[in-house]
Amino acid sequence: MLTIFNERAKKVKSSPLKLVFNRISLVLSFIFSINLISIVYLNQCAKLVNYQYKSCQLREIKDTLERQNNILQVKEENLSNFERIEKLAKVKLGMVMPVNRIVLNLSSSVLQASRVPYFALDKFSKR
Amino acid sequence: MRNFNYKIRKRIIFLFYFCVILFLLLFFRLMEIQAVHAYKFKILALKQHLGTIELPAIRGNIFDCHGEPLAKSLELPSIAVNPKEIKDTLKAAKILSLILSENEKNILNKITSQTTFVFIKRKVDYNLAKQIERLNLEGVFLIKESTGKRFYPKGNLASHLIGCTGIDDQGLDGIEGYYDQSLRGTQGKVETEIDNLGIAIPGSFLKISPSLAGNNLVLTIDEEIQYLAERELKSAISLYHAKRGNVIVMDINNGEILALANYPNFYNENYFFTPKENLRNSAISDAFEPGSIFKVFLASAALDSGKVSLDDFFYCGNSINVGGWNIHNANDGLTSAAGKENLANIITYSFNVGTTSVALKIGKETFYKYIKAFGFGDHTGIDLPGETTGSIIPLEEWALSNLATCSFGQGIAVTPVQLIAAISAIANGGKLYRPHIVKAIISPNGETVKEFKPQLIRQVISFKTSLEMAEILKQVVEKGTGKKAQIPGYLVAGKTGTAQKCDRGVYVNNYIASFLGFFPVDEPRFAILVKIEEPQGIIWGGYVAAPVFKSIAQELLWHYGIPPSLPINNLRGKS
Repeated sequence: MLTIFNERAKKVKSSPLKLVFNRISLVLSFIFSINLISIVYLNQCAKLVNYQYKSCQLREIKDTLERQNNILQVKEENLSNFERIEKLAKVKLGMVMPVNRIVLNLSSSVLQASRVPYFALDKFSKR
Repeated sequence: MRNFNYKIRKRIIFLFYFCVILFLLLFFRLMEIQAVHAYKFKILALKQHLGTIELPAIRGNIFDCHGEPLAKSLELPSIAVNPKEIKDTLKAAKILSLILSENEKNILNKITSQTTFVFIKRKVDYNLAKQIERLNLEGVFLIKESTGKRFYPKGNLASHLIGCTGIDDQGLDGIEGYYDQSLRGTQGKVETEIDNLGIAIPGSFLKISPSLAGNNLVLTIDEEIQYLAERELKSAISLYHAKRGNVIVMDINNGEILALANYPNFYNENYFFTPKENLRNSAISDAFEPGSIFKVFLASAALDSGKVSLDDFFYCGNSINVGGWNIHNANDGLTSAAGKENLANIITYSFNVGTTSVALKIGKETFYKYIKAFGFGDHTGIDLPGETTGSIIPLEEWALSNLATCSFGQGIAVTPVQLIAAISAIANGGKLYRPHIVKAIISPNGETVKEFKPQLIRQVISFKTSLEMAEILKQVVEKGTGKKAQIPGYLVAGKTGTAQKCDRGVYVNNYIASFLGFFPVDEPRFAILVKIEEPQGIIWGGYVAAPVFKSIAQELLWHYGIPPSLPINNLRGKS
């Protein structure tokens, strides 16, 4: 009986230390996991902000490209204006205004019977 | 020893309470800042890093009837400086003047001004702006403008019609000015948190008021016909060394203007450097005495009133005395062999004496009534700024001489647009339509905001009179003064005019040559007015203006694929 009591007494004497040790390690691991979660969370937030900044940059690039596209469109329309084309045709290519025009008045029955030059039909297409 | 311990204890307690009080003071101060004045400091903090980024509102585009762009706006940055930040002003001025091709002295004056902000150049080419940005010059920066810069891709095509805009993309003239409210966009803004570089912080507070781009306009103008009209007009003016001219092409069945050309014209980008007299849209703002082309309206009035029939004959000698004034025929060699002619021949050969006789028969009240019914003396309502009404002497002041002179188009001032609207009424069965330039207003996402339908003003003459007039005017082209307007395979109707110009109440030795007509006569579709002012050498409308009408009409028929209505002698029809 006394032996058991002594053993129990020994156990009681040693358990406060262990208890304290357990409690300390619990607190420490809790603090550690909180820190770990915080670090991971902050890292993700930082990544998110980074991606958002990149997306802003890409949007800027997209706007720039759109702007350049608009400028090119205006340039292209400018180059295709009739005055410039006529000048090029006359001066550089030596083209002249047509003197004669061929007028073909075709009925639908004639169209079925023979091949008709595309240009003639084009001239009579109504806008 | 006990005393000593007591003293120390007292000091410790005193220190303790002192710290407690200090702590409490700090606590209350913290509570005051964090709780009581929390809202105020929050607003202050927000103000410090809350920025507003303006979203530009781009002006709407202008297109022709086939969707070809005539006016477009582009977002372009401006170059600005903070003179107080620039250390080497000479170097900065030199670099900027080289890149922007501007006067170095002007730039230097701006850089050395006593201010913290000045524009060097607004809305510059995008590549030039990027070049300057890359140089990273101190005190020099790009400004993103809230409006775009206007471009006119077709050069000086339809310059009077389109008009121009100011530096802030506001419409000043022409269609740009008339429809400025529709074309103008609405600026937007983004309120967001910004960093110290002024860049928006992604994912932060954001409040967007979106910008709205301006509406687009679709005109009734056909780019090809407009170019053709301008080219032929310029060619004729150059050939006859004329001062100026106009061409108007109109669809007679709905009042749509397909082309409106003035010469001299200008480049829209150079609007502010163009002489003021060239900026005026003379087709709507310059009234002139029309001369013989006005006989068309006298004949219409005479027939429609029922006071004159096609079988009536009128005195057509060399001269007639009216109210003490002698009226002569034009000095063009055409005379009436019989001394009496019917209405058709009077118009075909343009006898002034004959028209005077007709006018005397119908009377001033009837003639005046029809002049007003055709729209002369009033605005046509065309959607362009600066239209004038012309000038007609009030009926109560009409003497017999006024009746006589008005019968052949002198003593009355009308505008080209009034004439084209009136001849269209004769061609289409008597309906006077409001001429208009804009067909529709389209939103930036393609929806139709407003469509402009043909607007009938009134029925001027009957259908029967319209047919009779078409026959008479066809004769003018077939055998009268308008032979040079003939187009092989097609029936054309029209009237020539050679009017003496009036300068400050005195008739001078300058003339206005004109041709007013429509085609094809069997199924009328288009009307054209050609007016050439002060041609040198040859002055007659039949020689100067009629060939221009023919060139434009031929191309128009070809462009719209209208087949000939008359048999052509051989398959190779000549132009």
